[in-house]
Amino acid sequence: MPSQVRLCNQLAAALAAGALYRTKVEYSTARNKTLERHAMSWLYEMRRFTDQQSLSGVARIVRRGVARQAVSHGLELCPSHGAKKMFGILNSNPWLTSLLAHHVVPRGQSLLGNFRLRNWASQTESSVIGGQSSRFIRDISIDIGDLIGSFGNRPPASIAALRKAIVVFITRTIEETVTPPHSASSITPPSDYNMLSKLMREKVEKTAGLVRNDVSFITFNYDTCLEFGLVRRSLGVDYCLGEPFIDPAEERLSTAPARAEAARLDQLGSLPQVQQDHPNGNRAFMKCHHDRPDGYARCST
Amino acid sequence: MDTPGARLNLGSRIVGKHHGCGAPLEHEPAIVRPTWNKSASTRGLESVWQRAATEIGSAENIIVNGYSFPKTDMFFKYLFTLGSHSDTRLESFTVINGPKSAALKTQFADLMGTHEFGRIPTTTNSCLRDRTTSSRTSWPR
Repeated sequence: MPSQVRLCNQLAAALAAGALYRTKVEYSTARNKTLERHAMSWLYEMRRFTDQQSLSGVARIVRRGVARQAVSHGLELCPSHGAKKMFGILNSNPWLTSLLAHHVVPRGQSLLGNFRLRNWASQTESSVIGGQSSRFIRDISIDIGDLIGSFGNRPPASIAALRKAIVVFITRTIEETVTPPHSASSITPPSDYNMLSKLMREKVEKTAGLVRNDVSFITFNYDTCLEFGLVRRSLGVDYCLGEPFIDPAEERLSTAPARAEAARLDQLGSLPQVQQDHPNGNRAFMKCHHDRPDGYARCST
Repeated sequence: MDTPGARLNLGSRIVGKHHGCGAPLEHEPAIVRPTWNKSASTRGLESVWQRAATEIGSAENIIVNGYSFPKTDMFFKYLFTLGSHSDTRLESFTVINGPKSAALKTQFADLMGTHEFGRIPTTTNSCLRDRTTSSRTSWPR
């Protein structure tokens, strides 16, 4: 009888292992299928190589003599089909190689850093909730871990640091991915937001009895592109943080001295861009605080 | 002529910035993470959520644009459910979220109650451009 139990246990373990293996294979297949012909699949290849720590791949790349510049930037590329295709293109196009080395690679490295951060958080999470990869689920687990003071093998004191890492991750992702268009003098809203704010402006102007404050946006976006659109159409922005509604028309007419201006800036409390953030460094974009040039700033509409 | 690609780096440059009153800003940007307990990570932003609920409750026309309404987002579910409970009569409800618009409308109907939801005219559009076109005649008020 004990031997039968042992056999059953072994069989169960084998079946479980088989199921896990099958799940893993199916997951890999689905993942690869999803990334097939995806515009960023080459970036995924980089990440996979980094995960595998395959030095022979680098050696092969270096031997080909194509990606020396990329490697000199610290970027490691996977010699799989996607990377090979890219190398084929680069071989016949020195200009593209230069572009990759000077523009795409640094940007890719930055994104790669985000991937590493995400993987780090994901690994910790996996030990707690069985490998679910949803970002939302991960954040839930970190919050609960912080609440109960236990999150896998991490010291309790480091759980708060992990939460901060997620904030950094989101912040950096916004900075890397939200790049609104700009003219010589100002940042402009992306086309969709421009269309939305234009539509709103038209409707407000053409509808009797409807004023700007009657239209509200509840946005869950992290970027400020909606605000760019509203300010461009002189619709004003109110973040509902306790300040009164700011009328851009009144702002433009203001001839108040510096002290009064400072008070108004306190009320404004919005659009957290500063002059040096403009890509051209154009001073016409922002009017910095009179008393504190490095301090609070407002958009000059 | 606009050129793409202005990098703002707002969060990274927050260190050393000051409020108008001279008080330094927090070194960590205030970000409401996608988590189960948004109220814990939004201290200081209570007035914003309260105003959002008020605006939902007093709205005569609601347009949901580009929100996928994940089932795990319990915070929004309760914000909308509690916020939409008011005496204001909702005149129209529009969902703009690509091919999933119709399914999303069902989710919102579940929140508001199918009886109430069935009374108001509802629309689904695949994209904002569709809404822009159709809104010339159908935008309320």
